[in-house]
Amino acid sequence: MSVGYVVLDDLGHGRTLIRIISGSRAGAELVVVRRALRGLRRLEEILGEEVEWTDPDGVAEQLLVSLLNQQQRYEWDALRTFWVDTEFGKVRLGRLYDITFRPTRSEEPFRLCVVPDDHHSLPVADIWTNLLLVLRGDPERFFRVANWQRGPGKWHAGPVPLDERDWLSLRCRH
Amino acid sequence: MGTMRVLDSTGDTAVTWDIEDEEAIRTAEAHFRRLLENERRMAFARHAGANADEAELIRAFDPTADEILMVRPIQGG
Repeated sequence: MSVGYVVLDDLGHGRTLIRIISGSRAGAELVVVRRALRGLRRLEEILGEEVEWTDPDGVAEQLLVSLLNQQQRYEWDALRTFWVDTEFGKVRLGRLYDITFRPTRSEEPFRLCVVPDDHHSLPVADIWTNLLLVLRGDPERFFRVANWQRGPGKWHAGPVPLDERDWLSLRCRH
Repeated sequence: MGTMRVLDSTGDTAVTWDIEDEEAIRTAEAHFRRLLENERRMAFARHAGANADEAELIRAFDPTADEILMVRPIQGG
């Protein structure tokens, strides 16, 4: 069974007042906050029932969570960021314009900046869905277009200076 | 029933088809091609409930896929 709801008021600062209109908690009014808060429980967890989202942020959040593995869901719930393992190192998604890349073959991490086209028109969770899928399915494209910074230095246009063995491996696969 | 979810400002817009319905498949496939060719979208197929580790980059419409996710091209920010 799924839960429906209506939005009663936008309270600002990413907070929305909703009324549950179906399911065992019908009639209850809740303030929900779904943007960039640490330790926030999802509404599904609070209600113990699946929620039928009708707002863009809710729809996008539900899709993103469905794509995360168990460890990533734990991280997303706790920190609103999650790590993605690639054969070249670990990439942390969840902070816009501030993606961390820890390469396997180097001690020093990179800061990366990659976004989907016209990303301002997407709910934030869709941005991470977009980047997660590209990173998993076509990492060569991800590292080729990413702007990058190492240490306190200036930002550089992509591609990211991966170890030559990594680029060779990527090109051989694609 | 297959579903193609196109990421957009509403979260996503879904296009569905029944594997027995050739017309619905043709319509979905034409939409898929437009998104790939005109908008340079990338497509990922997954089985129901599969996470991103199991999603597969596809370049042709697959009517047997449970779900196809159409994401936008990416660029340095």
